[in-house]
Amino acid sequence: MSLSELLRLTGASGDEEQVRAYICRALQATDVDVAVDNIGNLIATKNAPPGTPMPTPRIMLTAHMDEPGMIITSIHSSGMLTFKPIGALDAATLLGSHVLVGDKGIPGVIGGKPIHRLQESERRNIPRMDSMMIDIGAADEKDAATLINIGDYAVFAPASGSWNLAGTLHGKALPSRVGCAMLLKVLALELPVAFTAVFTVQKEVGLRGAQVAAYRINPDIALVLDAHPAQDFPGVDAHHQEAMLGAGPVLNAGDNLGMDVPLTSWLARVAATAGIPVQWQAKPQLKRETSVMHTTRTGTRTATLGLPCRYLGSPYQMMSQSDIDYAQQLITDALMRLAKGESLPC
Amino acid sequence: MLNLLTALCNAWGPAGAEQQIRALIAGYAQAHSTEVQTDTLGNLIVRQGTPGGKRIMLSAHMDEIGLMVTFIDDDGFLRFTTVGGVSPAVLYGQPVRFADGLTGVVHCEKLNDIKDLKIERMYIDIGAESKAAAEERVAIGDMCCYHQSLRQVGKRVVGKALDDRVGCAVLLSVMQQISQTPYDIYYVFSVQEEVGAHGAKTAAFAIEPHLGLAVDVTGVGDTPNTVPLAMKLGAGAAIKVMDRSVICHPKVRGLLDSTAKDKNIPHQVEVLPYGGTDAGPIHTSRAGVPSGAVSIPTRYVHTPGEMVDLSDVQACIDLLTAFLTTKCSW
Repeated sequence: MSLSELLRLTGASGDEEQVRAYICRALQATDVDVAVDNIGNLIATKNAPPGTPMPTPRIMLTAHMDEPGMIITSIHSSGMLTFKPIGALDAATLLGSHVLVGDKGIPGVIGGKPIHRLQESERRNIPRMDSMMIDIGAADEKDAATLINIGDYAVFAPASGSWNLAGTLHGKALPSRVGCAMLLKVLALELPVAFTAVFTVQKEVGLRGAQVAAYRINPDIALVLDAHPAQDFPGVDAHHQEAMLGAGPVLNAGDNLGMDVPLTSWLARVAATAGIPVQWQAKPQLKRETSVMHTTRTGTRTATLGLPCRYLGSPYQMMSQSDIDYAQQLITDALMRLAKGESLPC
Repeated sequence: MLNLLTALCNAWGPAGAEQQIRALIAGYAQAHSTEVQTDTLGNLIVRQGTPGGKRIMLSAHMDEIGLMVTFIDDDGFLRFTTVGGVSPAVLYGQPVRFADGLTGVVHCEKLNDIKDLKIERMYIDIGAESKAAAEERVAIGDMCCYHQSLRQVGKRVVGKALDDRVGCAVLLSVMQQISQTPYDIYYVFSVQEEVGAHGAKTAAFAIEPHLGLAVDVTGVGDTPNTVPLAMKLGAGAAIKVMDRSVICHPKVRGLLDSTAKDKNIPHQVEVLPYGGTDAGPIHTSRAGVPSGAVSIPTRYVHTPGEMVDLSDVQACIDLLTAFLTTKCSW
């Protein structure tokens, strides 16, 4: 298993099969029980080693497999493809982006009205997504129809060649695949605690996989691995700069409107004990998988470990390797504390 | 009633940090029930009545709106975000209080135009002379609420957090009134209503009620040049028809309405074209729960000067007490 392989996979919301199959293979030769539920979540159950003392609360960890993408809505007479976004895309970053369309991964580029033909007012504004089309170089509609079906997905093409400057990761689908890689690492550890790791589907379109998975598993505690929008760009007011790359995972006190401040504070204390830097933040408006899981059935204690990520919704996102390493350590430490029967504050 | 209402309203408890208000309510509830429990999300659930009877869930939320600290600047000023529906115009100049009693005042950067008044440009001043001094008292993620005591003005009271401590007071009073009931009653003092009625959702799942009732405040149309609403202060308990979260079950409405008529309890019809209550998540819990709401007409909701009429509060107590002690078929 490698993160770079995960990052090359295609997996828009509702079309996660490549990612799911990859993770299934990675878990094949292990002692982890793997199942796929009706909506496509991959549920990996890690049993505690025999003779493990003390029952622990039922623990669920999640990372989502899907990435934002596009869906083809029509083929224009010119052979260009109209599309609608699947999940949140940043329109300002789309023009000129390379995409892969359909199961065969037909390469294309997102095009728009030529710059010479833009009105003065259009030049000043970010172009609207519905004015853009995907250009696969087809001669006309008939030509395009030999390769493309309406309803095909398109995703950003993986960056050609990876660069890794001073521990910085770069590419598409980082929020999803970094979380998946971290979960696989946790599953590979021999910890004296049972837990369920869920690789969820359709997070980007409404947290749907996490919702049904939490209903099935009915956990006492759910921890989510996901990106947190980094705001550390020059020119942003100091009091709005948050989630700096390289300053550690983000613990969000007001996560998801679910507001499990005591559990999040507990994670901060676990981090402090181990010397793990965290960025303590308050951003209640952020929708996370915890948003739906904490009100599942009779309620679940939930928290998110956020990985600062720049340029969300664009084809070139950026994360820091040290944030990922710290988050990995924090989740392991938290599991160890729960294994020892530490009770959570409420 | 006034003493109870004063204690509840003056207590501290924004959404997500209901520990203080929960402990206070639990203290009152323990006099009337031996089954007082706190669930996973922090809802306080009090059971009373006849086990095996039809389960009725009454829900009043104990959380209030508030602010959460997001950033502490070099001079010790706190930037914040809102927890629930907080208007910048109402907030400007208001005193606020933190969990440990620390107080501050909300103010704003210099504005060229009052239209530029946005939460992003406001800050809390706790009187700290430096960042270090501020950090000794508060941390990012700490919450504060309006700091205002309940006052009586004529037949009415004015204060913060009447939304929905007045509902909590109604539930506690009903609990005190009832000695015999054919029902298995669950009084839920719910958490996190102000950020999306989260507590009522999980409580309803756990209780599986046969009938659900929210007890919450509602808007009124009896102030100068305001939105046209039929509800008004002093006209009795408001029996909800709908809001944005629920269309009340006709049978529940009908039962409340006939109870009020039979017992000559002042009541009015409530149609609220905005807002939601705990009845929203209750009525779609599991396979569905016939639900309704009894509301306390309230002026200036989500300000530190919310106003209710004590006669309306009494009408709500009378209506619910009568409803819960009368066996009827549904």
